[in-house]
Amino acid sequence: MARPRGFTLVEMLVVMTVSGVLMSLAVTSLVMLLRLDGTARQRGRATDTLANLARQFRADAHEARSAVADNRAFSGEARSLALGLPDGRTVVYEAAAQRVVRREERGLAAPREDWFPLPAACHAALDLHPGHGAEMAELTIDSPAPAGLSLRIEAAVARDHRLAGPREKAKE
Amino acid sequence: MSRRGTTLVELVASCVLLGALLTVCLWLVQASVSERRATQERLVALQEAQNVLEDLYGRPWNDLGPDVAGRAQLSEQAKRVLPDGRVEAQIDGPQEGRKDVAAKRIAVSVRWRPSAARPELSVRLVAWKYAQHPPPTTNN
Repeated sequence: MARPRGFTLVEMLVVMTVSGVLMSLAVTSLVMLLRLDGTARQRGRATDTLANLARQFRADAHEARSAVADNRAFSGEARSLALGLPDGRTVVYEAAAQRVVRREERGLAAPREDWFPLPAACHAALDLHPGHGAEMAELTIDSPAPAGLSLRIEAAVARDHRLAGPREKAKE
Repeated sequence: MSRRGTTLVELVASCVLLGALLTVCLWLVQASVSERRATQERLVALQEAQNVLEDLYGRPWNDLGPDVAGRAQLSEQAKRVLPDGRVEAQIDGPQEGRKDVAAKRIAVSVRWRPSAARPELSVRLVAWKYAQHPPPTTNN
């Protein structure tokens, strides 16, 4: 006698269980992959931003003729740092929540603002302290996470002018 | 007699294939994650070396010597990010017998070891500091 074509209930159950397990495995690993990739991307972007910020901060500090730190926070940490550049420009760095803002003012022209977003939960602080021979502007970025980002950028204020030869000094 | 349907062997083969693909994917993502982490460590190390260099460079000429260089150390921030990190500064010169240009060479290197299995990485910056600027040509 020929067997009727089709699947038995048991066969169906087995196939469904096995494929269910396989699919859940695939989905969880895919989600994990995507999450890992997302954090890696974020970290890469943050690194680029911070590299740009460091370069800009050093350049501004070196070029500045004067620097003033503004202690508005309760903790005594400076929240902003004003750098007086030659040719009347003023550059103000502000440590806000989740970002560092650089504002460049030149006379009556509209100020130019650059935002440097920080990685999640990071905290920025600005400081100005006398170094050994040159005043140092300092920007620190800290993350509360144990394996988080932590960076310190220290730049000598007015370095360009101390190194400038007599020709450039006479010109100004 | 052959019956249509999937055999156990086919099922196992598909599982193995899926597993292999997933492993490769995971491995690639893991590599990219550790690469980005290394980039971040490199940024921190480079900024740290630059900090030390700026500090040394700003000091008066007469203070620049091996004892000042020996006192260079990593900041708390860098210690947290760079595993097994350390900084070495070296100040050489001025070269004997060169009266025309007296220069000291400042070399700063930051080293760290990303993990026990990987080789040590380092960044290195070098600058020269000159004894004096050309004599000022002032009128007063």
